[in-house]
Amino acid sequence: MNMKRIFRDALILCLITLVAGFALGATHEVTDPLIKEQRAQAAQNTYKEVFPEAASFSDESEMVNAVEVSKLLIENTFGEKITVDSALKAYDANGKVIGLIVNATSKEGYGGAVSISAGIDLEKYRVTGVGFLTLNETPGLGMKAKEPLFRDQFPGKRAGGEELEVIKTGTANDLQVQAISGATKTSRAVTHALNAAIFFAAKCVEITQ
Amino acid sequence: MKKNKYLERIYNGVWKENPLFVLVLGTCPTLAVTTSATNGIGMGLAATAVLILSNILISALRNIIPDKVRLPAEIVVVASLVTVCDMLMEAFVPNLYASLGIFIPLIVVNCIILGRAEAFALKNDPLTSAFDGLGMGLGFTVALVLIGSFRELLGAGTIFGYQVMPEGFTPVSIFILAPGAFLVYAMLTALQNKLKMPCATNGDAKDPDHVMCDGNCTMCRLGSQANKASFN
Repeated sequence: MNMKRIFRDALILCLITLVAGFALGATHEVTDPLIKEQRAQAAQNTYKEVFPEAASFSDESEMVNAVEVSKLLIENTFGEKITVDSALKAYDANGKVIGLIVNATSKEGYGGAVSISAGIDLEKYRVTGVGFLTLNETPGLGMKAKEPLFRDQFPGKRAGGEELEVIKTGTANDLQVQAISGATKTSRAVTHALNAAIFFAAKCVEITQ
Repeated sequence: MKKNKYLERIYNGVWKENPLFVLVLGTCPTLAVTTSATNGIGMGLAATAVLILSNILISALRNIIPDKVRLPAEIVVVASLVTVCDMLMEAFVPNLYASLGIFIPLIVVNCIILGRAEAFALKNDPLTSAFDGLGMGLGFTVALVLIGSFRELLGAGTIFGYQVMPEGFTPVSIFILAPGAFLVYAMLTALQNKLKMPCATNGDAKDPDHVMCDGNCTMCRLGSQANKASFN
């Protein structure tokens, strides 16, 4: 193996890498704004789904601050495995704030973190819905959290600041959540994240019109 | 089957050298995604698209890529291609991306892609390589769907999300959990051994020439040289 060969091979490999790098960069330039738009649109759709009565949502600096300030309080109340990640104000068609969208995460799902987006009506102090941002649970078990049987029980739950409790048998009242059969851990993770969201909405923000 | 070399590639990928059942390649993503038949289809189709494209690209570059640095060159080409596809899909076909997107990063490190680049695309023209990718991809899809259906049927009582087991059936949850993947795959390999079917893990195959490596991993002839490492 002579030196010339080594340099020639290295040069070709370098060229291939260079071309690949440029191709990646160019694609990124073109697709990045589109991807950001798609993601924002997808997030808006989720918010709309969990808070059907609201007309628009916005993440104002006031909410960013509230999330930042309440971090320690939420950690002390719920432990470090549960976090409130972000929050948005939900407006009705007349531009009045009627509630919040709170994105919260529990790291104690069966397959890792469970991130939810919860709609909370601040006039009636009720949950309006729960959607999933991250859910990597077992198909056929924990993934059933996405199915109506489990998900549709959340709208109407009390959101005054008390914690919801997971039950395995019996009929759930408005402070109880019926667990998914065989996936208690997932049910708990979702409910705990929702509890943090409710706590945040009820105790950590004061909405001024 | 020698009539048409393109059709022969497809037959080869789906049946004769099925990447999963015969070559035993790409087992890591297989164990992870075969929890349901739908997942199998998603992973299979995403892998097929990438296989076709990477085979065409590697084949087009086969006279440029120096033999001594072909592995890093192939990895750069394949990984860049997959990342570009990932970005393009998310930007332009978000609906498709929503169902297939999670499988794309798994494909970057899929050894079937590298295996085919090494064993076939580096030595053949782009069109034949494209058909080889199509055949291998379809073979992978069929295998994933079969394993996925089996696990979903026993583990959840459904296939493609539709209830097929009677009401009274209690799902054996272990089959859709990680250990179930090993159980099913192990039983499958055991069955192939018992029936002396062609398989890379089966040293006693009736027709050893049928399997490229003859069940002897040190002699893996997947690549162009006898001493080339296996990528499984």
